[in-house]
Amino acid sequence: MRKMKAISNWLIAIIVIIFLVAGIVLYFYVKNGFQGNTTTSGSQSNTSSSNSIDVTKVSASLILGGSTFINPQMQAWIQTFSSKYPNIQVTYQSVGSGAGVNNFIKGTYDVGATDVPMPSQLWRNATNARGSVITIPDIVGGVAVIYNLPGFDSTKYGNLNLTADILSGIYLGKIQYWDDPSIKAVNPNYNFPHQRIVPVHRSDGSGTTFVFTLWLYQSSQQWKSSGVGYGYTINWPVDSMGALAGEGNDGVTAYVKQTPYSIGYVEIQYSIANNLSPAAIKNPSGNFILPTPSSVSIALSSLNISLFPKPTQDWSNLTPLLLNSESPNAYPIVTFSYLVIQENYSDLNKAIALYVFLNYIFTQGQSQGNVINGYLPLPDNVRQFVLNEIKLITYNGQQVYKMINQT
Amino acid sequence: MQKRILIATLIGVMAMISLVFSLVGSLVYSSIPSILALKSTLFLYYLPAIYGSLVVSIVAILLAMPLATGVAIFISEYLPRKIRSIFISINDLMASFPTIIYGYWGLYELGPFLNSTLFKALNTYLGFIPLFSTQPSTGSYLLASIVLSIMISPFASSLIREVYSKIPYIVDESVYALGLGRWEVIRIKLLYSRRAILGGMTLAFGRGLGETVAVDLTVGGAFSISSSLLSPGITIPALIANQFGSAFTQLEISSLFALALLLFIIGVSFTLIAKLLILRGER
Repeated sequence: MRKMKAISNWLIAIIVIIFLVAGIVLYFYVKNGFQGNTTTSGSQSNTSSSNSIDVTKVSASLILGGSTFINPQMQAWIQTFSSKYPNIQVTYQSVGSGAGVNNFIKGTYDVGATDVPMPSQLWRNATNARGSVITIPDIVGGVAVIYNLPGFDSTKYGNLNLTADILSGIYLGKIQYWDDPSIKAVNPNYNFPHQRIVPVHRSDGSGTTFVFTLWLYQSSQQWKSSGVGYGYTINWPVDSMGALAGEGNDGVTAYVKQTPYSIGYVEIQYSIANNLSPAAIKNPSGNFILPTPSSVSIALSSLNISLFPKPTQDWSNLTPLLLNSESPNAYPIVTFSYLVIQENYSDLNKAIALYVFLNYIFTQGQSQGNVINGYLPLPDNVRQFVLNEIKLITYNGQQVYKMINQT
Repeated sequence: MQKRILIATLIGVMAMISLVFSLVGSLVYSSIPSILALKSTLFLYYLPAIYGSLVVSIVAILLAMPLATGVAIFISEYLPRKIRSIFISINDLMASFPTIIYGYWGLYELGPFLNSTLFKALNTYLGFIPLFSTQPSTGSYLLASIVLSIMISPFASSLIREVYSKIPYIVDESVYALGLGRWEVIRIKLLYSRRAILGGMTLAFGRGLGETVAVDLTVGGAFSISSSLLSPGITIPALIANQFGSAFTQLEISSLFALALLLFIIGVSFTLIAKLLILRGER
């Protein structure tokens, strides 16, 4: 009996040790697990020497993730793509731009999706971790300003006109009432009430906030000298003055709709898809322009593509070039959403699958029926640029697009 | 056989302990860079979120405590046995509702309603008290607290009800025998179950402190501190959920982990305080 007890004590001690070890191992596994290169490649590998590989026979799985803005469009693309290429499995995880880029660097994702190009530091990390990295614009984005002004009817009084200086004044807390002389000056037809403006911004870190504040920084001296700066998350001076912050475009819209005399900013796609009535923004030519598919595409098709960085360069300085287009009818706050991919692969199936998928996105994916409501396809000049970018995808140094036989 | 049971349960316990340790370990490990970078200012920097978390959960508990206790007493004292089970299942159903539903309901239905009625009245008639000194905002500490208290009170109330109903009937009989009424019965039985009430509230507080979605949708999101319950603010879980997706750099991610660690510390210390209170009550 005593012996039994001794044995059981030993057993207990061993189990305790096993679990402690298991706990530690589990912890380190969790900590390092995401950094290890996950292999999500297909099972069979094609012979590399043949000069034309049948794409439909390639089997591989791709994991994409990042930006929540592109998520609905990406899911639609994946759905139609999968019906054409059932052997290539594509998944998209809508986790946010930052997590998307970080997971791409760690190797968890094959493609990272982000609303602004990777900041220089991260671009360096990415090239260190994954070799040459290509940044690809995949869809058009931008920021629309929405408002809730009871009694103001845009069919009767015309659009609500706003400038960068007015918006920076509102978000810095310097313009507090709707009947501020600067607002009246650009909207002479309407007699504004003496009501407090409630500014609404995003509570989550967001590419929309980045682009909006970058535009303010670029266009308004007052914003620039205030020291607030620009970024995904802003230390908003108006937060201590009763500003509201909503999560996502839905959150901001809900707050603006429910709060009389409020003003907010949302993604253009969201504003178009939900028929919100946005404000007209003054562009560098002095015209007040509404965010519409045509005014946005005018801004981007007048872009000088030769100013774009090389595909494998650091793209972090591109966004300022997209804002404030000089065209007289262009909407000033436009941008792209981006994908980041690795240039060279040692897994042929993956390289081919990636090329085929991206090629689909930038050919059929950008056509009328495949772009879902509210999203705006890339203008043709950019699309051509992008199609050349994806030709850079290589398998051990050989360009993949030359190896395949696409029907 | 007994040995086997012992070993089987031991495995469960060890698994739980090692999981907790690895979780806390990863929290501490991941938050080191930001603690080193911010040092003593860490606490100060996140003050609006810490303040918001405490205010929202404490007000929610203050609102939920009478609600939960009242429901528990009503169900076990006044309801006829036959329909009691229906009410109990409704109560439990409320506890198991997805929190995002409460959040959206609070944002789109309850919020606008309260803003135009109760909150407006609080501001107009009691505006001289700093607690209600600002104009009601679409999202606010108080709205989040109310939504939270509605969410957590079924949870606490089922716990209280279980203990309350376990009090032997002889207590009721002896109180009646003394010639006292139902009110005294309830008071005495409440005295018996005060530990359960405190325990239920501790659990509910823990849940409220960690609640993310429902609070995030209703609290307003402003990164500021205000003495007024009617103004917007932010809580720790809401801040983490909001910022995690766009945290690009190591330091940003690390400071979110540091926030989670702070939340954990706050939660643990409140549980300890409650435990101490219960112990003191026993003596």
